[in-house]
Amino acid sequence: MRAALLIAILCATTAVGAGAAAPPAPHSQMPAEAAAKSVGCVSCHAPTDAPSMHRNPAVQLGCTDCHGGDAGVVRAAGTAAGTPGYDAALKAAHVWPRDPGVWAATRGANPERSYAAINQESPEFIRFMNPSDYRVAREACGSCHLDTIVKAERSLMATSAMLWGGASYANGILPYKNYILGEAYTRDGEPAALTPALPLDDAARARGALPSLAPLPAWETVPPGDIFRVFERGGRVISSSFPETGLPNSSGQLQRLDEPGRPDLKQSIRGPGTGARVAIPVLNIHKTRLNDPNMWFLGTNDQPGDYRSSGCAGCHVVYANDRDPRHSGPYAASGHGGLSTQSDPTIPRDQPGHPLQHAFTRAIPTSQCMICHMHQPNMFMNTFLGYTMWDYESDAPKMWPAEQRYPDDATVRRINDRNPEAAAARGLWGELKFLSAVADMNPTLVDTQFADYHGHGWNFRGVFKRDRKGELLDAKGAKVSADDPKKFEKAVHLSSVHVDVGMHCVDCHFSLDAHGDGHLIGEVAAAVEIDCKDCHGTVDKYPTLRSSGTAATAGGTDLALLRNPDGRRRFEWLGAKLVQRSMLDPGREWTMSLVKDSVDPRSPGYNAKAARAKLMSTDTAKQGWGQGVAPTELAHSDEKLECYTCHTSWTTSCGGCHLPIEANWKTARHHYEGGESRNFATYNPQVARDDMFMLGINGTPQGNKVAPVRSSSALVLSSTNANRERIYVQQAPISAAGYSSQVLNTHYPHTERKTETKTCSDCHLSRADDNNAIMAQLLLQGTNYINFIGRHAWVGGDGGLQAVAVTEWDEPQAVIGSYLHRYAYPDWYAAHATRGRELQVEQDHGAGGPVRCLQLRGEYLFAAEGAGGMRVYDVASIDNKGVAQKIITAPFSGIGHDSRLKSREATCVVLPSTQPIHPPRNQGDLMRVANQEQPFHPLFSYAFITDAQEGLILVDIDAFADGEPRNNVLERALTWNEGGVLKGARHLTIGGRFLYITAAAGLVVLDIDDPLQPKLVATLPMDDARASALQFRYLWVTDAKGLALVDVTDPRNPQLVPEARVPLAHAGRIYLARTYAYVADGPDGLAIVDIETPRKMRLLTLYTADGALKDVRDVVLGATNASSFAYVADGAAGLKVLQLTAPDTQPNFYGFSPTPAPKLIAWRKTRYPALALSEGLERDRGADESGNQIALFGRLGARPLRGDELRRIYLDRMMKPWFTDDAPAPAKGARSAGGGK
Amino acid sequence: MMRATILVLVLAALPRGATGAVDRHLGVGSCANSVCHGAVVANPTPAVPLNEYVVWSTRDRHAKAFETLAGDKAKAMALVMGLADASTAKVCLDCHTDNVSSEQRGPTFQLSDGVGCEACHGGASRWIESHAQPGRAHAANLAAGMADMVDPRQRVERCLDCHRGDDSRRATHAMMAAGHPRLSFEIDTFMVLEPYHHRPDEAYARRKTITSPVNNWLIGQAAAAVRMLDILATDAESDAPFPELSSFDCQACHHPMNDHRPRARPELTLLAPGRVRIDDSALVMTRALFGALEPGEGGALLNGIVELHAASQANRRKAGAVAAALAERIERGTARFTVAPVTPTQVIALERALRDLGLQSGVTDYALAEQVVLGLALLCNDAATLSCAKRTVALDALYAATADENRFSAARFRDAIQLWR
Repeated sequence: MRAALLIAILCATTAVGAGAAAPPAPHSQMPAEAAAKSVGCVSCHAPTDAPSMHRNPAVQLGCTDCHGGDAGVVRAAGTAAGTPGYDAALKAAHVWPRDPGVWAATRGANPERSYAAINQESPEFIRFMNPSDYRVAREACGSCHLDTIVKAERSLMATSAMLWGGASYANGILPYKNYILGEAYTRDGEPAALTPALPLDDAARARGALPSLAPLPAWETVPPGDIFRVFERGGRVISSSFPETGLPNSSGQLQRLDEPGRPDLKQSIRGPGTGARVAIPVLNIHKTRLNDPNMWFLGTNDQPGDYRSSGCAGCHVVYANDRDPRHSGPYAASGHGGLSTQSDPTIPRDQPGHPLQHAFTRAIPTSQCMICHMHQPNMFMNTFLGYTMWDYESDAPKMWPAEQRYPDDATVRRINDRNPEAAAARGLWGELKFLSAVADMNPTLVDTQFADYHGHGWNFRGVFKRDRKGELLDAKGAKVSADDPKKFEKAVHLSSVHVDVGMHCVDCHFSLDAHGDGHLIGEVAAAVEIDCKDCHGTVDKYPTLRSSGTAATAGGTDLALLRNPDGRRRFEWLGAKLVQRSMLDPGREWTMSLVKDSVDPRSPGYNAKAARAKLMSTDTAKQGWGQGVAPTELAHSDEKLECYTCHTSWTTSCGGCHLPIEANWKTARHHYEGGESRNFATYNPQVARDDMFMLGINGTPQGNKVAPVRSSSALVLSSTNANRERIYVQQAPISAAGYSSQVLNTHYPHTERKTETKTCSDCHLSRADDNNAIMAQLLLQGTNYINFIGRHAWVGGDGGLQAVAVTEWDEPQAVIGSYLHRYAYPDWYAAHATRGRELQVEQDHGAGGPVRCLQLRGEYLFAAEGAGGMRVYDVASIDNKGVAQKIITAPFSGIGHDSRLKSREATCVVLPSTQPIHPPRNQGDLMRVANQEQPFHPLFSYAFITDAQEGLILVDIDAFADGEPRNNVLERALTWNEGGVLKGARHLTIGGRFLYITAAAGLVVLDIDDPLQPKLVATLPMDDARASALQFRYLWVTDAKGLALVDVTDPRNPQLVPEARVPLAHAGRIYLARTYAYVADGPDGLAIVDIETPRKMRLLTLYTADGALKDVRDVVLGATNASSFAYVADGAAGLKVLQLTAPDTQPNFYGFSPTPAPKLIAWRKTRYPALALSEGLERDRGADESGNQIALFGRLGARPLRGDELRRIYLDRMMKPWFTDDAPAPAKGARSAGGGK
Repeated sequence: MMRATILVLVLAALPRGATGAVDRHLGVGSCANSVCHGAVVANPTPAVPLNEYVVWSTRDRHAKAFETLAGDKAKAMALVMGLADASTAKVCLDCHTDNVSSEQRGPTFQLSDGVGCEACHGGASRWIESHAQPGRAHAANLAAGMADMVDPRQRVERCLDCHRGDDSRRATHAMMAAGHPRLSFEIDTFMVLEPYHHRPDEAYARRKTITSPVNNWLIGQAAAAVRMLDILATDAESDAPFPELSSFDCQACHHPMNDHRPRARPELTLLAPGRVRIDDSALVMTRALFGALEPGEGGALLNGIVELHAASQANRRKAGAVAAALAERIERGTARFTVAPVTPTQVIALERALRDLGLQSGVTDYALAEQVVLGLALLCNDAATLSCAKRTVALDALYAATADENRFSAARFRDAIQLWR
């Protein structure tokens, strides 16, 4: 402390120390010359670990060659720290910062969260502090490594172009999928634009190289991409509460023309980019801690997993971040507190933020990579280590305080500066001491195991092998009891098999992957040169040890040349085996699995299961396999599939994140010019699942192969203005391509396993026909399990509709009365219990008739109101305390503006997507050619309405997403009721280009490939067909007798499955969520039907909550954090909220489809008897049943499987389904195995 | 080893004693950095290419020398020789790796790198930190312990240490009985095949000397002869049965019983029929080449060779003495003939000498035939004087005649060399 003070005083004096610009470090020099440049330095700093930082004695550098400073100043003999002579020498020898407040007080340690402060510093000081910082690295490292510096400045790790580009495109801010934004700085810390370091030829363009990247300082200037209503034109009075940037008339008097009775919510009258009419997601990139700081900045140096330097040292100098040897290798022994083990006596050993050694290394541990790669948009690599985001629920009793916290603003600020999760301010992990010891609790935990790194202050939970019900499994596939105290030792921790053999990231990702090749790249997958086959080979070729991935240069890198830091060859063929030697552990090597051997029956490495999968023929009738199958006939050829499509044990899916912006938090910008401004958004993961496996087509630079898909960056945004009015609530933006921003992405999960791979029935129909839900998930059609129902449940009523607040507003947004609520908010939970679990907040609005169907999309609620027709309500202000009438019928003007579509007896309205979309954006060459986006199917422009008298009505609703309210007028596009077949139509399900309508005639199927010219394709007579729900190739329909099943594998020929019947007396609406159907059964309660094997479906339970459910009319599910909830419209009894799974009631809650254990946790008797519920935001529905894209894919040219592609997965040419068995049968049907192909 | 005194004199000016003995070998990894000698693409000319490691690693068999010891053939050999494991046996490691003592191995030294950088260039511990200085004199590096691989004599000596053997390393007859291939060496050909990892361009010439292939070859032939004689002399001083059989011509014995070979060579006139004869190919080559440059020297060397063959039938001490004397003569010849660049006239003379060796003397031994062919091929590559273009038919015939050492026919070789005329 005293020393820090002293340094601060030294800095405050006018002396700049040895600040004059030092010459660049020489390419080479004699040892004596180098020593002369260290004379004074070593009078204090000796001994040091590797004086030149390089272990190789070929490098001769003196201290000042790299650091600058004055080596001529020598500590007088006998003087020690604190004596005047010593301090004078210190002052004269060192280079001093412009801002001692940030830099000097740390005694040389990297400061906590310095972010953009480095841009304010002199290059001389930066060089003194970290000569390898990119701003000055040319001077210190350039004489030898200029080529690498030039490349590294352009690499994604420096530019973060994937974040800037992805966020701007997914949020509709910039329409360029060939991204144009990226971060770079000049020597003086000014924003810099980048051009490629080598010519941009066609080959480079083809693999995703970009012509330039531009900086984006000052978020305040970026117009909004969002279509939220507050960004529409208007805002006369807003300047009084939110002064406009750059407006001389800051009080807003000139603009203030208040009109009585007319709430003026809009953000600015002056046009886009003024007031708060700006792109809030850009604010998030600048201010909220996302994947920053990138390599231009120091690590935040404040939490285990955050300690690192900037520039070259950001990777090549190791800090103590993680105690797990699987993550940190030999560095694990040094702890995770950022403490140094340097020999230099001046480096404090008790102060975090110093590197372990004053030495460069290529033995970079995974823990160093994990500092940045622990977050979704930054190539989420926790998966590699077997972890994913924690969800606030597992082991909640250990992670939340026993007594509810009410943190004051200072505490919130202090915690959120370190950790952008708002929940951290309420949880125990918000405090560093607790956070650092989280992994120490593992032996006592019951739900999960935590990782020992905590970058951003976050916690990561282990992912274990489970069956589809969520039961833990051991290596042999045997169940491990949830009660077994050693269950986490017995169950397989699903880290990559590469981690298990001792590999670190640098064992696969070499110089080019780390530094790039000088091209500017926009997406992470296009920056990777290594490919599986480079080391493992293919079915017919042994590995070439030449890189061949997207970023590989012509001919590839010769991996056989690579040497480890210990001097050994990294790869070497030893006879017939290929060994790789560890970069980190000189004692370790492993033998490569060779694909060619695995499929060769004569090889000791033969694996029948692998051979069957890899050599399976495309002839689905015979399913022959073996060496005799011609390469062009291979079903799973590496030309068609990424290896990791099957060699993946699990994928992470971050099904949602909430970013609530708050105007009243004055916070620092982390990029560019720094400084402070109003607004801050916390970052709140909602649903992080490990049980979803989905397929899509990889990007064009990657070769458009079939690849796994994850949900990524599914944001919902909220905003609280300066008056603490919530001006938009949990809104999903729309991407620049018009597709939903609930982005899906082809993705390399890095969860390779040998046993726990994907198998036949993960992607094809199983012989037992028990994977219908798996297939729906796989093909991105959604399973309705992770749908997002946020703050409000939207309830259609008899004569009106209502929104009931079902969660807390604070983070975590626990469902009131839930398991999480109990631990995160014990006081409020207790109060809720005291109130008999009655929900308190409801908004409502009368309707023109009974609302039997309603759907929220964006800030509009679509409701079918019987004789009232279909009305679109504006619900943007639903949670805005400054607005009295929170649900309104005229989004533009109460005078003559009526967003109602009259019809005689509107029974239902269904939107082809519950996700906000805007097809008109997706047009023109920019989208089709440059951005490689597929066109929308025309059906996505419409709302589909059933009318019991008029039949089917279509209305174009695109205008509601164009940011212009004045055109929000509904006009019929089509009324169809050919031959009266839709008489009595009451419910509608959209399944791709087919509509399934329940009407008096039974189940009516229409083909709407041309939406305005529907074709009747089938009518299936049923007794009082009521409602339907679709999951992949089965449609469930309720009728007078209960629940029926219709096989719609070929929708033109629907087949009633007579043996599949669940008798129910009052069967109504159906909600399918993975392997369970939830059926409203009126006074009998909620029927939960096990539909894992649809043809053998059976009633699991008829739940009434001990009689509390009186008249169940409708049910929808939503996932909040790790738990599943059912929202039940219970007639006159109102809304009921059921918790279906919770860690205390269903220990297998992480399964794909754990058995529901329903429990009534909250209710409200709504004003209007509850008849219907709005479905949540479908976060895993990227495409419809016909393969039409709905959600954005984040890579150039990536997309869902198209109709013909997805049909090939389970249908033959005659449209008949074919089936597979997982068990390897003897080779058959192939020449070598004796069969005829 | 008893060393020819003149060689000592020739080399005395060079800091040969500074290499090898004490310097630590830091390992290939210390050179292989991509900004040092590990550039994937050679530095543009004129400069040090800096891809030397890559050339060595990808194309040079020396990089695989250790790997050979792990192969099936090596395992079989070890079994025959009674070795537990060829990849740990000193007798194998001495030539298949840079088998310096454990004290001489730096922290990143890897025996498994086979014949790596420092096996030839010397341990780097004293020069690694200074050798990359701009303008650094080659001599200064040598003074710091770098081996002089520019000097053609020192270079060939380093090769011969294994490719012929020295007093501590020898591919013995026992090894060959176990399956080790016959040793064969010609410096210039082998350097081309290695391949070169240096680039004799303007930048190289500024710092170092470029020796012409013909001079290099001449030096190599003489050095090989001297080394062969050194080995004989050393063997003469030992108590082991004289001489080690690997010093004899392999095909002199190893040929079918019905293959009665003419004994037309003058060197062999004093050798009784049926006697096993020393592999004199290097001596005969040297005699022919030096004789071409100075006819009298050819006669003197011929006498020496004849005397050596005779002595080899007498006793070991005598053979040793004759070998030593002959080595001294060759050293003197080396000093006389190889320092100045060989002239075009001399090139023609050398070519005729080789041709005549084949035509007149009768090249009856494979080892000699091989050297004649390599020499002719090398000479006709000296395009300024000779040209292979006119002799492709002859050269192809010669290559064919020497393609298989086990099916070598002197008659066929003679037919081939007739074409050369």
